[in-house]
Amino acid sequence: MCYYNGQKVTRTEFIRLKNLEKAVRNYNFLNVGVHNGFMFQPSAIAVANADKTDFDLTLGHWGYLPGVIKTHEAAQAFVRSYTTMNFKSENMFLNDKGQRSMWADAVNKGRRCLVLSTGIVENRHVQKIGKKGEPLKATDKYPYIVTLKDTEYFWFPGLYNQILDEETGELIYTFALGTTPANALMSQIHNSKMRMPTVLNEDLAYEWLMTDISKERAQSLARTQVPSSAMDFCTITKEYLTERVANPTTYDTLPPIDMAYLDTTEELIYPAA
Amino acid sequence: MNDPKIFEVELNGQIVQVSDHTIKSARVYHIVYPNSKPPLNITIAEDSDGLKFWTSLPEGRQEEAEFAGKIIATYIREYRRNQSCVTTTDKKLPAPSLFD
Repeated sequence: MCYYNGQKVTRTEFIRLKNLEKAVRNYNFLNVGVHNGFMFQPSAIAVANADKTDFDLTLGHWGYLPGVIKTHEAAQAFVRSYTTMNFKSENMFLNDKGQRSMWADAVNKGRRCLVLSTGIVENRHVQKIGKKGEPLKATDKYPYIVTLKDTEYFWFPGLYNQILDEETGELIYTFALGTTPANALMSQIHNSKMRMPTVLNEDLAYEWLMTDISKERAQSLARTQVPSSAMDFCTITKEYLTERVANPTTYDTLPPIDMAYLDTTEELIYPAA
Repeated sequence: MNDPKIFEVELNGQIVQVSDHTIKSARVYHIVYPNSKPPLNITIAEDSDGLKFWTSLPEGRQEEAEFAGKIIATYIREYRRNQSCVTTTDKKLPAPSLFD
């Protein structure tokens, strides 16, 4: 007989709980303030069960890996060569060269998931000014955190692939999240790429995850743009990557964001529908 | 029965965020406090007499686990009961056990 937390348990139960402890150690993901995609650390994703009657929150590795990857070395070689953290909603079937996209397999086979987020961190690039007041090519980067008003967390559409880790025998989820053209606010913040993650409202998130939808509808959902007026933003310290926490701060020399979008009805290319 | 995956409950006057995870076939609740108190993971275990009890993962926070577990179980029972009421009007169903 053994004791767990002072309670008398059977040996079998003790072993089960100890094994569970090990697995739980990896589950601190919901407490990480800032996830950096390039660190390839686990993030929280929602995956539907087979008959789409329920879903599970589970861990996924941010950075989609194709099925041919079987070993840690192969995975590392792949992520060094390719950036697969995001998929452009425009490229779900065909890539920019008009060839079959690497996402097509996941889309066709319905490997859709939701990626849990509480905020988006992006850098705003501001041109440096020379000593004589002339604009320079170099830019300063100012990080912002963008959140959604009136909600503590929200969902991005994701595409996943499960990889069999032949070294441990584990099936590992790897995923990429969908992006869409930036709205008025994100065009100013993520002004180097003019893109933003797609944010799904609750109805659209449910449809993406829990229903059988056509490929065309999947693309329509994956490119939905959230209006700027639904977002809040704040500058944060530049140490967010090392400290992994989004600490609000102000930068005196930073020009303000143009918030004229609050006074008009924003015209989005892909509004929620 | 679709239980809530993320919800909030009140523990000792504090609103805490709870998320429900299935890890190695076990149901684990991850509790995040609003202050600097470390998050708590709890699950249901079975003692040598076959009785179920709440326990912390890892060991060491048994008292907190039992307290939080009872609050969470109450919240989920109430959530299930409210869901049941949507479709059942002729008689009240017995509250389903979280241990089932």
